[in-house]
Amino acid sequence: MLSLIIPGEESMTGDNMDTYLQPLLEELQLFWHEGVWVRDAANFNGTFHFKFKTILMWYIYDFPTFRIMAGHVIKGYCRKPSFGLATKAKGVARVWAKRKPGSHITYSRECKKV
Amino acid sequence: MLHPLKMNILPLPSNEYEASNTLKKLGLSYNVTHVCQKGHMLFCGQYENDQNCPQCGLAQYKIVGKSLVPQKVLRHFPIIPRLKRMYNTPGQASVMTWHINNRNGDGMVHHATNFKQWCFIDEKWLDFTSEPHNIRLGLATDGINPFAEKHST
Repeated sequence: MLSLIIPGEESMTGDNMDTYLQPLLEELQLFWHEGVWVRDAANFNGTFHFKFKTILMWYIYDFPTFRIMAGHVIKGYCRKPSFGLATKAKGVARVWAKRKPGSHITYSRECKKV
Repeated sequence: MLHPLKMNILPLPSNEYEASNTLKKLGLSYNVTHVCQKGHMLFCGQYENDQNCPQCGLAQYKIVGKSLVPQKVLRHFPIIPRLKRMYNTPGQASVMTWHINNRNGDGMVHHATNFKQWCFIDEKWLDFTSEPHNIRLGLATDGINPFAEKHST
């Protein structure tokens, strides 16, 4: 069941993923805490109403998306999974991405600018 | 929705407006929410009438000719009417409670109902389990470009 279309290639770099998931999460919370009254057509000639609740059991991601959701840096300096949680600020990753191929500035100096 | 045998009896909608109206009545429509240009926030709830994003100050609309066009739009397909619709068809509604009626108790994993996680939820929240119509959802994401390139997943 498709629930969200998250726009674009440039916008979807993993930043602010939570913003786009807000409407879905609101619905899921309503489903779990309060429930929704639903008519069941299969029982008692369709006059049976019940309070319908759902629970979110699983997440299924591919690997890069999984790391976005876990809050890891996935590109630039410290991008390998073996670094674990010892990654630096996301700004470092952005500087790496914007760096021109010919420039010889060391990365430490660039990090200070950020 | 469109049964192959009924295709000859029921004509297809003649224009897009008619088709979208039919989909709305079936509970298959979508909501449109305006988003900040950089994805900081959604313009909904208490921020609905704001012209600028409170975090970065960028405008919600851009001016094209004489009209205002939203900078960025998020389309959300609400799951509540979709799940309600599943229970409104007798054939589909009986399938929705399949996981209660067809369980195997021989200790082998035949289906997701035999998983440890499923049994854990059954034991922990008894009021949730006591209603057989309640279902378990899974969230899957696909088609996300972590590197902003066209051909990576």
